[in-house]
Amino acid sequence: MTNEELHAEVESQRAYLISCTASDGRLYVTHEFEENVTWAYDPTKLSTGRVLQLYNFVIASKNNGGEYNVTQEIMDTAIQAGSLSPVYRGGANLEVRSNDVKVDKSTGMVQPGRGVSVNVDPAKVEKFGGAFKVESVPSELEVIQRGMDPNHFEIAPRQAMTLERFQELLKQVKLVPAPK
Amino acid sequence: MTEAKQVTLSFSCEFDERVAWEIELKGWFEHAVVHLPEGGIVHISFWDPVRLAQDLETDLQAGKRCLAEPGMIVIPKLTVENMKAAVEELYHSGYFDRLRSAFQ
Repeated sequence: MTNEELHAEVESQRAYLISCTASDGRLYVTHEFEENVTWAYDPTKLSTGRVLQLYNFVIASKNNGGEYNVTQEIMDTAIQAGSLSPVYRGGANLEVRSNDVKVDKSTGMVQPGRGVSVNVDPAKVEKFGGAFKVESVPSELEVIQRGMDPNHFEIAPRQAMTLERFQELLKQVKLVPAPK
Repeated sequence: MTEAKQVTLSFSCEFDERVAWEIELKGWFEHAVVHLPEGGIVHISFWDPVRLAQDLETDLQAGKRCLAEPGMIVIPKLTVENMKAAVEELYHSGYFDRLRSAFQ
């Protein structure tokens, strides 16, 4: 396979992953697809997005000389097998606090990549008013892993926007009480 | 005998149990204020290494060329204890004098 072909294949997989992310808002793959495949990615890029994470994975498996091919079917299986972990908010309140966002001082816009905290583990957020499962988020927002803990995510703007718009979109996030 | 004044750290936002818990997970906090014993305050921000890498990548993807904040301090984990220890150490190393003189 030439570098150009590899690049095209990776881009194809990436496009597919992006389409999954757009439809659901989340795509988080933490486990190996198959036993003989080394899960190798740069941990500093864990958060950049689950898309890049898998992107790196594809490159790693190819560079290691394996014949492993990440097909759409395998992707679907992996996603359904639990890589799409739900996330939970402590309490039914998604009010933005000043420590949640970074405002560009020159534009006054809330920057992408930072937002309100949610967690894969409902027990960890229970003490903040009960655990509420995030059922859906508006397309202008994304749920992204942030920080050292792979279970910590943030609901953040995809693009820079006003704080008012961000808050308005957060009000559209559907939360339902987690089963006890 | 007069007790020697010490450098202290305060927060310019509400700082409750939830904020303390969340900033450790977020790995980023920019509402910290250092109060110098000789008078004066310095606004600082904290990052942990993982969040720093994540935010840099986000900013680069957004078309920026760098990530920089005046008074940016990187610590292993964002706990109040670590933030206070960092401020103490930096104060004794003259960091805040250099930081303030850079903006005068």
